[in-house]
Amino acid sequence: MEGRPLDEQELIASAKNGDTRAFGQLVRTHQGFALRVAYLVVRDPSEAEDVTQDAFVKAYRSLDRFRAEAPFRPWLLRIVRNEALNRVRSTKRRDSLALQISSDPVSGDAAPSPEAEVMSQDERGRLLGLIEDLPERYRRVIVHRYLLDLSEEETSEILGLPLGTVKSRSSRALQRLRKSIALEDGDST
Amino acid sequence: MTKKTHLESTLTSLGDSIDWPTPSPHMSTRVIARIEAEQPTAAGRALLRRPTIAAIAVLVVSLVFVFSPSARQAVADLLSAAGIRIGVTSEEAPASGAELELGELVQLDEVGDTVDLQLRVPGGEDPGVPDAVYLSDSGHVTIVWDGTPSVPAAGDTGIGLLLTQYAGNSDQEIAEKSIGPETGVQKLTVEAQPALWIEGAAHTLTLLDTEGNPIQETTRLAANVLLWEANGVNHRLETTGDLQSALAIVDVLEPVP
Repeated sequence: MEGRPLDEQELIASAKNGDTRAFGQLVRTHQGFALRVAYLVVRDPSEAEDVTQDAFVKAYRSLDRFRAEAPFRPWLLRIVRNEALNRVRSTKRRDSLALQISSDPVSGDAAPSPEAEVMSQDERGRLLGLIEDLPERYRRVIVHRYLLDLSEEETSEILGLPLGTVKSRSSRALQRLRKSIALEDGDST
Repeated sequence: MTKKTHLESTLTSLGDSIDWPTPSPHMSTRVIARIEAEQPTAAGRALLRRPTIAAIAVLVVSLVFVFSPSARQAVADLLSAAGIRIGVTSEEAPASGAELELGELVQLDEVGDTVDLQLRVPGGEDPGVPDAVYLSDSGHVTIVWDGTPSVPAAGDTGIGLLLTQYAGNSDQEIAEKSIGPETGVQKLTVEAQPALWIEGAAHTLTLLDTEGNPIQETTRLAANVLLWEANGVNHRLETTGDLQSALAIVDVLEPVP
């Protein structure tokens, strides 16, 4: 997932010197994650694609301000999210999560985890519904921290929240989810 | 690293099950094409490859612009003779809400130190990133958002939403005499505190504090107003939106880091 940091640092250094092929490699490495972050905000695949392209162009223009020793992905994803937020502000606003479970058991290249293998399509849909019902401040943290599988530090940087806030909201959101799951299980028995 | 709980692992695996969009196969090609289309011309690149000369030119221009208009003109002529044109604009585009006389334009992440308030800002995607922030002489901090399709601009202001915060913890009572027949007042509870939702065309409101002293509240947008207090900070939210949309904004308020 992280790649080899040395290679990435070399690509960034080359891109800073105007090597667009090196930046193209960075785009290909991070475009999947960037598109997901944009999609979480704009909720439309083609608009998310536009936003992601715009964000990559802005990131290239801003490379001089990127600190060489810093992790590249959260820096880039924050640019993507800000670009997406600006887009929804200037167009239509949406406030639902609007994610859907894939008809395939697992999307992407990853092998299914034990948890994914035991969860039925219906159970995954129910869990997604419970996340949808969370207050937005909790939902954002849960979606970035777990559904995108970002670290607490990355979530903090991308959402522009203090690390402590990410930790506390994550903890409270998990508590709420556990309670909701227990209530649903109680209803179904 | 702490071990993930079962729920955390389940949520992570749920992320693998989401029907995420996939990037088009041409994304990187398109990004690079746009970047290369924006690259400076050959002459510009040559200038950029000579950073010392460019830096000296910038320094000279910066120094001279501090001095007289005639000196500025002389340097402009000199650079023009060398084939370099410099456009100087005397006016910048005004910030959002500049005509509303809300105070001095400030940075959101810095103003909290000045006024000793724990300022809050909506953390949600709605209304998103503020367009401007102002600090008044009386210590009122006003955050401004331009109008959008869902929260249209009020009149010809271009502004859809204002959130003003200032120190104080008065239990405000509306002075009925200041309210015209076209204005509706609703008492409600916001963040566990008494609040007022004032809907209609009031331009000036007279409120009474706990000791009966009048407080003049001038609305800027002549739109709807939600007034409430939380943790020693008075809040005034002016919006063209309805009460539900105002309360949705309150729900996602979070401290400015």
